[in-house]
Amino acid sequence: MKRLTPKLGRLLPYAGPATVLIAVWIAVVISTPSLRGESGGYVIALNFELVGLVAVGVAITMVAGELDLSVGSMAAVGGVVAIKVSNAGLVPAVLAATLAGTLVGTLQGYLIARLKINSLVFTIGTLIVLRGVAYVIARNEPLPLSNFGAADILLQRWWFLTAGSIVALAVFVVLGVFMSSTRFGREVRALGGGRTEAEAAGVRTDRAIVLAFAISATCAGLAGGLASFKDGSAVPWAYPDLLLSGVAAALIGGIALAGGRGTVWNVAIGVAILGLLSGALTAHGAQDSLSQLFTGALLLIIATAELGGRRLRARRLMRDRSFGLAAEPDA
Amino acid sequence: MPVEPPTPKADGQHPLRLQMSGMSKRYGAVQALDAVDFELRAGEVMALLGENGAGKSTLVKVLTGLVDADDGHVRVDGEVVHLFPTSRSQAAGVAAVQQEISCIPSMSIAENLVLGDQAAGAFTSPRRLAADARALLEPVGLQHLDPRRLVEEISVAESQLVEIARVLARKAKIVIFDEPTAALSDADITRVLAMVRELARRGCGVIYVTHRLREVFEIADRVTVMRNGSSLPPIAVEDLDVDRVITLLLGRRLESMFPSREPLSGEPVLVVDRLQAAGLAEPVSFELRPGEILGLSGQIGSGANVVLRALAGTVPGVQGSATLRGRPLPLRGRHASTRAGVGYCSDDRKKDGFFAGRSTRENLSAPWLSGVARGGWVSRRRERERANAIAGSFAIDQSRLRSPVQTLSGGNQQKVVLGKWLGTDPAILLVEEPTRGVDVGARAEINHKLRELCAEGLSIVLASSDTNEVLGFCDTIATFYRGRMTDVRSHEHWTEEEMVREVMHPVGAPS
Amino acid sequence: MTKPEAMISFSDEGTTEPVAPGAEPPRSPSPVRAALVARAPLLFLVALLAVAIMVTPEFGTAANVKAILANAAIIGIVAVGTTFITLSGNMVSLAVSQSGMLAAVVFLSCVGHGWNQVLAVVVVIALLVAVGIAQGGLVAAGLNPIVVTLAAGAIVLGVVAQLTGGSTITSHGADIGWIASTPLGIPLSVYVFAAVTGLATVLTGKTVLGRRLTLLGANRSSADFSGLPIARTTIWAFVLLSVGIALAGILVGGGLLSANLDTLNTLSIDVAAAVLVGGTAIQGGDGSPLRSAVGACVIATANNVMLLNGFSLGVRQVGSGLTVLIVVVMLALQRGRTVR
Repeated sequence: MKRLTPKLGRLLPYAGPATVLIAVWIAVVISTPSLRGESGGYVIALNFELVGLVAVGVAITMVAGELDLSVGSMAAVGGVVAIKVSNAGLVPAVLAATLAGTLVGTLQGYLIARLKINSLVFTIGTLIVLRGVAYVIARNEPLPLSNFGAADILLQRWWFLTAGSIVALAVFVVLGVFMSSTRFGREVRALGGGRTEAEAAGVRTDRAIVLAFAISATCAGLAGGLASFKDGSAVPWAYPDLLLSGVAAALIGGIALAGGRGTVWNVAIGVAILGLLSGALTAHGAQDSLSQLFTGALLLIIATAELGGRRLRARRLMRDRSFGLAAEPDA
Repeated sequence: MPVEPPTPKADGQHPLRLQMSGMSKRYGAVQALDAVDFELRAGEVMALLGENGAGKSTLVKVLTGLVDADDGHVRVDGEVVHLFPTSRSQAAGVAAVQQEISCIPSMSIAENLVLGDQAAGAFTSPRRLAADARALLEPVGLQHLDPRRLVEEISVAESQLVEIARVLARKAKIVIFDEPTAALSDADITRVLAMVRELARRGCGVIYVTHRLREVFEIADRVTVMRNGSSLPPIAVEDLDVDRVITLLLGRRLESMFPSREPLSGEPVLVVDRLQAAGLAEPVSFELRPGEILGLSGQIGSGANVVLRALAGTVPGVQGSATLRGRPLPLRGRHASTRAGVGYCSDDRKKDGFFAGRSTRENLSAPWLSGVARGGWVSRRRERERANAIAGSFAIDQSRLRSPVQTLSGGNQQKVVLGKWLGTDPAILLVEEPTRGVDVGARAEINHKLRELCAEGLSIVLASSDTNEVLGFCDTIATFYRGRMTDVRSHEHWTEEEMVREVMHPVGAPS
Repeated sequence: MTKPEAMISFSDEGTTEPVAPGAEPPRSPSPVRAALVARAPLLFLVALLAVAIMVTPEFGTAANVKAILANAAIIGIVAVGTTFITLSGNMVSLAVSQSGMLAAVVFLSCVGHGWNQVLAVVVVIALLVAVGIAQGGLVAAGLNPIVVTLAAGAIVLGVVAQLTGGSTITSHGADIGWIASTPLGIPLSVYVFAAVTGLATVLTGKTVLGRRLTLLGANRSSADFSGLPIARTTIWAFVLLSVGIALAGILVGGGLLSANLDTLNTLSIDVAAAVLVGGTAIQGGDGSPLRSAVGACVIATANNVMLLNGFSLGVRQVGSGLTVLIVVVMLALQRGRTVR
């Protein structure tokens, strides 16, 4: 079989998600005149602000072979923290929200690693606790932003970009470099790619887990902080569906739930797809829940396609790798 | 506080790299290591031989830091070290190349080469990693591979060499090879053996755990034999031959294990017609008579296991067909296969043989539960009766039926995994490696019981890499080598030498 | 002299336990003691609650206990149903909230249009079972249960939104008061809760299906190689859960006499919490519906105690979450290491 050039071979995993993105974009452009050109980019950028940040954090826990279910609640906590500190200005407030995320995430990761506990189960507990924390901080009622002026910059738009989306894109770049080019990022990927093998090779898996969850909660806190300023208020019951959107974006973009595979590019593609989808549906006057329907359907289609692809690949591998049979021709 | 061990005497030329004295490890009632002494010189290849359960793998686990010994001292280059956990073992310079590849398939070759290296830089671009990798791949002859390719895309043999390259890069002092050639072709085996000798030449101390005597005589300097948790003093390879090694390993006669046999007759119960699946280079056909035990003898990768799995219905994409008692045998899925009367035991009972956490009785009844139920309702009484009957006939302690199955010894676990099929009244039993991890006593009990069942009409096909056992136990033996059935004869027409030659290097095969 | 190429092959030591001839590992602790140890987290929690109760005088009234049971009932019914999913190794269903919403909306819709009430119940159950079979089929085919239920929940929500147009569905005065009735002073939902728990426990412990579900969760490959029908068993788990959700949805619809997109919207998490507090292992193979029922009661009791002591909503949530964490952590410590 002719082998693709190395560079092309490395781009192959993105072919599927990228095709879906192009198909969706074409469909949107055809059906929704208001989203042609720059406006299309704008709805995508908007999706990066909130869903994108959360998605990239959750995606990193997925690549590590874990899952952080508490991101929605963490974003709510980030929001109320930012508003509480809002009088200090935009940047300190958002920083406070982000830091709250880092602290929470580090603690979660530490407990999950030390107690050797299933992260799915643990984060079900923490998602409830964090939601309660958000209520407690906000004293069970919405927190309005008094320092309105500080949020102005977040409402600005340059071409299709906003301040929030620029921050999100910067985070994507940082995390992308982290995962591909740093030792710690490689350890996170190794953790998901083969935990026993990684440990046998000497990888500090505990550290990798802590990092993954710290990143996930940091992103969620940051996202919540930014969003609360932009919305002008923070409600403790915010973002009940953020987890779904984040996980769906990651999965649709090509991150594998089993772990070890996927990059921030995958997440970006997924976020773009969902951004276009929800933007188009909103433009047609549909409710939020309809976009959920499309998201769910798309998720199923892609998961089924991925399963089919995996089965085909495994069958081919089984043929080719029959212990030493394929390596050399018979004399 | 342990007493300081006495300073070891070093051989004039090769300094002692590793010295273990008085290592002991107990698992419950089982003394896995019993005051074991082990030494290794720098620059030598020490072969580590031993039967199942002799303590080899425990010793390796102690060395690699996976297991903490109860007692004993370890010195590396004269200094006392504590090798637990794995981080300390690695810091002491111990590296292991296992049979199961410990590369991460979803990561690139270059990334795998630096996996776990705590001394590596914090920030390295993928391009830089790939450039560095080429230098590391050269000693193992893989410099032609693109280091940015994922490990899952290269062959098993190549990924094993990548592992060796990683070990070389880590500048280990002690390298343990644990059955490294099991899945490799001849050419790759030659490469690996050359690498092993190269490592020794560079001053590493190499421990080579294997069951292949040919390799031992080819590359080892000395041999340490383990038996029943104890170690014998190391012997130079020049002072050994095959017969002496066997005597040291077993310490007993072999023939007493296998009961006598009866002659066979009757119409074939199983007819296999041109069966082929991934792992077999050409189709396989054979027949099985009632009460016959057919042994498929071959090493890993020979295809013997594949035949069994294909017949059991656990392999997708099977071509060819089979009939059981005159009716077509379904080859897709275990459910249909079980109902047709086919029992199957894989070679890894922990992974897919029994249900850890459930009681022994529940394990025994799993395949035939609907048979003791009425309208979906399980009759506890009938289940208990049938389970007791099975336990009785296999000599499993009936008082342990309520205990979780993982608390049973390996031998009893194997009895459970085999015995559960009795309740389904099977026509044939397909078994892989029937006595792996089973102590000698249980082995004899299992063999005896299976022979009894065959006298009552059960037919068995077993796949095993243990040529001695196959020869002693089976009526008919077929040898496999690299995906082909090379020969099939009745047991009285085989000698062990001929068998071994057929599974290792058949007449007419390419060298 | 050439050495014969005899090769001694000693099969690899496949198991981690080394075996010396004739040795037998020690017997496991008696079943009674093992059972107690397994339930230790729950017992600890119950003890904690007992203390809290003693400090809260208003707790002991009959009215209060009934309120607790009523609160626990809906979550408990679905938690019992979810246990089948958990036992079989499919973790939890994230489609529970939306499916419950669907059941309530469809039931009220039907009776609101004058349909026969028995027919309406049957239709709701059939509809939810169909949705469950679809999910079970996909999981049996090999898709990850988290992905399938996540997607299914989103789809169901979208469908419900389209059906209701975002508005609230009411019973339009249909006579469904019997659902909210209190025979002998106890809400009907509690009777249903008790009945469902009893049936499910019997099913798990005494039927072929129940045993197969547990074995499937204990070790999927072993179940497959032992000839168990994997696909069928998996789908049954989802069917049983769907029946539970249908019943819960009908009870809620009948109780509130209205349903919309907010109905039961925290059910997925509440149910997951109940199953976890009950102590059923998330990786499958160990647990029972009775435990999940107890878990639901424990959470409801804890919530009640906090409420009576004047804790605010946020603090109560923190308390509930901590309850889950405590049990989960204690179980993990006790089991040594949970499978990821």
